[in-house]
Parts: sequence; C-alpha cells; structure tokens
Amino acid sequence: MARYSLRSTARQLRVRVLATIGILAAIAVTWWMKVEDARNPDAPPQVALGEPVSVGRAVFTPQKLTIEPGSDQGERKLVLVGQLENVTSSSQRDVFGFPGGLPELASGDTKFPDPKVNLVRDNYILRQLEPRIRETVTFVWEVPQGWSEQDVSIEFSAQQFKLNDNLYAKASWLVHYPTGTLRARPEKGV
Amino acid sequence: MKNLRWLGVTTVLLAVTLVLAGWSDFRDLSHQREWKVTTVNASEGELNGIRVGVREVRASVLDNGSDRALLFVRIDLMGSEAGARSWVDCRPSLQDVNGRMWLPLQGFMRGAIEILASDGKDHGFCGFEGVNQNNPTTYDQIYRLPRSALDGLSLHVSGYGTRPSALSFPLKPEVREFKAE
Amino acid sequence: MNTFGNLMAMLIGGAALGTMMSTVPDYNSSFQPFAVFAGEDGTGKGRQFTAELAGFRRADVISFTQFGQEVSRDTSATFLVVDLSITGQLESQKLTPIWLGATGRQYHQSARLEDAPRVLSSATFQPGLTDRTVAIFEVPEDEIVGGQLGILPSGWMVLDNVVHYAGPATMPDKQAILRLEP
Repeated sequence: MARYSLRSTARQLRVRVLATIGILAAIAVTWWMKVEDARNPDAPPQVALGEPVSVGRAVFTPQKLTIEPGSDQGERKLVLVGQLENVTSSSQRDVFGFPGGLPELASGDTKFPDPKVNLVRDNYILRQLEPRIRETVTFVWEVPQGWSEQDVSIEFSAQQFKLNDNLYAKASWLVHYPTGTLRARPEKGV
Repeated sequence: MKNLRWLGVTTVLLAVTLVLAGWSDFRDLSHQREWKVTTVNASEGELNGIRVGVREVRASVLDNGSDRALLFVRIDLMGSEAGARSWVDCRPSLQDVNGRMWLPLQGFMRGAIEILASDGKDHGFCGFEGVNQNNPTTYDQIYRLPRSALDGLSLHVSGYGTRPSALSFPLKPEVREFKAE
Repeated sequence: MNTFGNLMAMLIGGAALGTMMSTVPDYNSSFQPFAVFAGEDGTGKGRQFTAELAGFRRADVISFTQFGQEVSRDTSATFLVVDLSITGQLESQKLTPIWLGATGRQYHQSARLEDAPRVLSSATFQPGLTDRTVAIFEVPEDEIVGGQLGILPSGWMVLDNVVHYAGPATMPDKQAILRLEP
C-alpha cells in the first residue's frame, strides 16, 4: 500500500533521476579506485642493510653482501650474511616455508638459482632454527656465467599465518607475499 | 506400532550410514593389519602368486650373558609380475606368541648380515625388482630382539596388497655365540 | 504462548547458543595429543613404550666423532641433555621428544646433532629391550627450570599419547664440553 502517490510526473522523474545519479556515482567511484590502484601498485618496502625484514616464521637482518670466488676455477658466488631469528613458538625445520619462500635474487637479465642457507656456526646447511636463539646465517647464490658486477635486488617474502583458516579453522601457513626488497651492490669478498 | 516401525527403519539406516562412511577407513586399516594369517610349517609358502621361501635363520648372542640377540633371516621370492604388482611392497616381521612385533633394522646396523650370512653377502632388503617366474631372488633382513624371545618366534611376510592376509613361518634359529669384546 | 513467553524463550535460547559458540574449543586446542603423566620416579608408560628419565645435564659444547672426523657443536644459548632409558612394548618404535619450555615454547631435538651417536632421533626401540639414549635440545637458559619433557611416538598421530615428564627443579650442572660416545 503506497503511502505516497507517485502519480505526479514531476515526482516520478525526480526519483528516477536520483536513482540514476546514485548508480553512475557508484560506477565512477569504483572505476576511479581501480585506476588509482593500478597507478600506485603496493610495492614492498625497501630494506637497507642492517634493517630487519620479516620472512614469515623468522625475522632476517641482512648485514653484508659480498661476491666471493667459488670452489671451482672461474666460479663465483654471492653471499648475503645476516642474523636470523625464529619468532614462532616452536622449532622450525622449514624456516622459509615449504615449498619455496627463499629470497629471490635478480640482477640484470640473468636468472639466479635458489640460494643455499648455511649456518655460519657449523659451516653447514641450516636444518632447524630454535625460537629465541638468533643465529648468523648466509645465503649463497651460485653466479651463472656471463654476469658482470652490478647492483642486485633481493626480494624477501613471507607466508601469511592464519590462526583459524577457512577450511578446518586450524592454524596454517598460507600463501607467500612480498615483505621487502634489498637493493645493494655486492662488495668484494676474500 | 507405527512409531516402532519408524524406529526400526532409523536403526537400519543408521547402521547402513555407518558402514558406508567407515568403509574406506576400514579398508585402510585392513591394509595395515595382518588378520588372516596362514601358518606354513614347511620352508616355502605361497601368497597371491608369490612363493616365499625361508632359507637361513641364524641368531647371534654374546657370551657375556647380555640379554640382546641379533637374528638374521634370509628369504627368497619367486613369482609372476602380476603377483609382484598385487603385493605392492614387502614387509617381513618377527612376531611372538604374545603379539610383540619386531621390524627389520635399516642403515648401518645391517653390517652384521655379512658376518652371519653363509656367503658373507647382504642381498638387500625385501623388494620386488628382479622377482621373476624362473629363479628365486634372495633378500636378507636382520632383527634386534631379546634373547629370551628367540623361542616361539614366527616370521610373518605380507605386502600392502596382500594384507589382511599374511604368511607365517615358525622359526627355529641356529644360535651362534660370539665373544663380547 | 503469549508474546512475552515467546520473547523470553528466544532470548534464553539465543544466550545459550551464543555461550556455546563462544566457548567451543577450536581445532587447535581440541586436536592435541592425550597427556599421560610420568610417576614421581621419572618412569612414564605410554601406549607403545615405557621410558624412564635418568637425569638432566647442560653443556656449552657437544663433541662427537662422525665418520672418523671430530665434530663439535657450540651454541649461543645452552644444550640441555636429557638421559633416558626406554623399553619398547609391542612394536619396533621410533620416538620424538619435545621440550615444553617454561615460557610455553616447544623445542624439538637439535637437528645439528642428528648424526651424533646414541641420540634419540636415530634410535629404534625394540619390544623387550631397554636402551639408554640421549635427547639434546638447544634452548635459552630460562626455558629449563619450569619446563617439561614430552615423548611421543614418531609418525605422530595427532590423537596419540604424549608422556609428560617433570623438568628439573633446579638448574642442572653445566659442563663446558660434553663428549658423546657410541
């Protein structure tokens, strides 16, 4: 039962014009937000040597990036030294998440392989990191042939943690998202 | 009377639901347990197309009265490829009358096989590469168990595909005493 | 029923439902292993093993021989060494120890010492045989007193038993270098 009679043409017209303006405004605002998002992508923050960056289950503070000769003749490796601290509540075997999650190095057009993570204390692969114990680790990238010395950028990513996930409402580590980029020029190592 | 009939129908449907929902879990459980064990009193027995023979059984104990013993068992397998595929894998184990189960040792502990075997060689853990119709393929295992359990042991052999059926061979090990260093 | 009665029934029902929904334990807290507590003498009996805790020690450096080479592991925190005597019950079994620290954090056995002799991670326990092993954790010092040891079967089913052993009442004695012999 209509309280107001819309029999008057002027009123009908007013209502319809207002509705159209509303719809057009919604479309325009949404389109504008999409354009703004595309123009300013969410870039991960810049990380400098000495600043901590989250890698999900741990926090890594890079200290020094050097280029060193490899074990064989003519081989070189890029070595990033830093402190790694497990910030979860239990010992972690896959500190960077599984699979993947290791920092990615990009420089020029060359594709670098995945780094090896070494525990400096043992001079061996990092197998497990205990909570509250900060360790010095190195990331070692094998330098492919034909790479000349130039700036490198290392991208760190973290896994998102959800206490109650959408499937079983249990704690799980989900997709990787970028947390920081380190741009530096490697120094000459021994 | 009508309510009772509906109650009966509900009970039947409940039982059917439980069976349907639990069927795959029951199947998984039956692939792990050896419920239908065939005792073989000879040295050879057949299961699912594979003939299993027990060739050597030798135990080693130390002369200082230690309660441990090592038991070496050599078996051989012979059969068709279809039989090998139906077994999937091979799991030999030692069991006693009380239901205790000993699984074979892996890794560097297998070095004792070379001392206890008649030909001094370790033919490898039970598997199905090389199993054929014509010649038996030999496999070795070694177990660590209490000396007191050496009587009343039987060797159970089964595969993922054969369980809940398994073969059981009663063992009478030849005991060899070694000097403790 | 009258309007008031209906309203009261709805409110009480809603309150009961809300209470139940907010107090239901979530997956993380309900899917935990069943805790079995060891006796005063340090002997605990799980479903698949019986273990006796012989003592606690601490060390700064642990050394052992691996493939003829001398290996030594040091740490910025401390190594907590737990001496255990374990008997298998029904089946050949591997076990996993977890140190439940005083702050509530869970420490697993140190993976740096996986190749050390007589370490729990490489031992298989046979029914009827009692073996002495060592479980080594790398923990900060304040996680030791007030912590507990939990032992559970490896290949861990979530709803299995974990046997809890009380931790040391006082800080265990520290050795500068602890040597592990096979």
